Amino acid sequence: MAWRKSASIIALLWMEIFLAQNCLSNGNPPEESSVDHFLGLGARAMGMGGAHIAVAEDFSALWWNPAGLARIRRIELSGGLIHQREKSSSLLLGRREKGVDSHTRLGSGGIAVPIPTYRGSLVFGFGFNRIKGFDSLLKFKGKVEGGNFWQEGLEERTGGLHAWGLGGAIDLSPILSLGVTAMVWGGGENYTWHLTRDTTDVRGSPCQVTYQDYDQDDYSGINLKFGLLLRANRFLTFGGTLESPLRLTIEQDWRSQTDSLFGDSTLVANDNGYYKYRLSLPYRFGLGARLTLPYLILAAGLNYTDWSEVEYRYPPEDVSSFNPYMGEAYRDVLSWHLGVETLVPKVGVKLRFGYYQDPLPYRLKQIKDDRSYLTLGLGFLLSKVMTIDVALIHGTWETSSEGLDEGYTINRSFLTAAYRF
Amino acid sequence: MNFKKSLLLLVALSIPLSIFGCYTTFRPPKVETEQAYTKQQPEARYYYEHHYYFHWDSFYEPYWFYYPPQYRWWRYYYGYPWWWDDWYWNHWYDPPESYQKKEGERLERRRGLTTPPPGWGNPPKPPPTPVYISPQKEKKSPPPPPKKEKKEKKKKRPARRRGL
Repeated sequence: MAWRKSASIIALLWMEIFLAQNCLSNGNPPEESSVDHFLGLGARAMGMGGAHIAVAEDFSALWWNPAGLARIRRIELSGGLIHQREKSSSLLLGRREKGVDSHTRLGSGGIAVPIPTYRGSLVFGFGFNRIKGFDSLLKFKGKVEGGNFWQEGLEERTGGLHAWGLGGAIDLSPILSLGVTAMVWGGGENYTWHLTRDTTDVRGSPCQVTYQDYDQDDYSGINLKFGLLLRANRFLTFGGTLESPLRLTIEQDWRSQTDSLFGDSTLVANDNGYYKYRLSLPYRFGLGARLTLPYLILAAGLNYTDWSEVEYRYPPEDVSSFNPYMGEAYRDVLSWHLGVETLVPKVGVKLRFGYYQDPLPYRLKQIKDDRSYLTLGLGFLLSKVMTIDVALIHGTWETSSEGLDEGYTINRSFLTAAYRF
Repeated sequence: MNFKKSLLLLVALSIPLSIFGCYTTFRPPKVETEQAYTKQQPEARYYYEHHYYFHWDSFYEPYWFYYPPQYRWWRYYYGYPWWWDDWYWNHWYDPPESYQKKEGERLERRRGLTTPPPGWGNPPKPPPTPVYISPQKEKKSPPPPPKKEKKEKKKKRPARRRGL
């Protein structure tokens, strides 16, 4: 009997090792959190659907279009909060499970200082912007109908990427402004994976395996963003941005535990490690237009990123194993944004609407419904020196991979307050 | 292009801009006539306050077009340079003319101090005596009968919370 038990345990271990190896050795690059996951920035911008490349004229221009800093005429102190409520829905083996995740984070904070000029404009800005958000929770459970195969688990991510930016903008002519922001990126992600599988092996013996993985990733990197703003006439303004490749260094501190219960035998395997790798994110291009009318601004924006150019730079094993397949794992993405802002007559309050599509770049997951958002915002001016802006955005998308369907509904609210001296 | 190369490119672009200058200037240009010297900024300020549609090439055009005159605080918030504030406040709260500062004059000290001219400062003369004029005889009408004084009845103040 002893040898049979030992043989079964060995068989089980082989199966688990095989499954684990299968995930890693198929040459498919993993879905990197730092790719995509744009969170949104600034309540005014997000109320207008992120169509802000040609509109940015406050501290948030440091990110949206550095040339927009040149439009700031008064010293501005600005700060903002982001609240996110995510509802996830999973479908595994015909069974649906829901999860709710909620977080409030500091969105931005900084200062913009216009230098007194006789003609033209010269403005500097410095501050913090939370650019990417990883907060997410997915719960799932599923059972083979009529069989004895049960899986249950959760995947939780928290954290995000922020950028400390130092930028400046100058008027090159009465209608043309140029700006640039140097960004120092930082941030982190805490990842939790918990899966329990309860089944019987071919001989009918009960077999339960529990996986518990944790990793903490720290990100750092630097890049530049250039911007142009062209005021063609009193109605039309055009904007363009170019963001240089972002070289991220990612340090991963991880541990994993696998508990295997086979019959009356238990096997616990613990492991932990530290892994450092470098990732290069590609150029990003942006174009925007703004039509200004009395009481009304209409805005549009386009952002193009070829995520298939994402590259591993270090270590060599990642470079050689994943880089040849990046074109299959990621696609190029054109996100488009539309926004309206109107100054409500007699009330003096600004009302904003917007819509944007931000396609998912990771193509190894089947995209059932691509990501899009509806946005709504309000802007108040208090005593001519302070603005309070609020925005709500609502987005949905659905993907599917490895038999697990995932659906997400995001409700994000932005609150930005700015004081101008 | 890596970060170092981008930074070098940025510096390379910045140097010619800063050396040879560009549209943006910090100080008024040195010109011969005073008239040309003072022309630009006051004109821009004037248009800022008084015109709904600004010059086609205006620096502040978007704010002028978007915000109607009654929402001038929005214009102020977005479009009014902070280094114009002195002018701005003087414009909106003009002090009375007598309080306005004048150039080229200084305060005279011990203003009004003088010795009395001849004839000034003597003791005041007594008032002239009035001339008596005899009044005409008038028929005296009989005095009106004395009015009977109404005796008011003393009333008690109504009690508080009556009927409670």
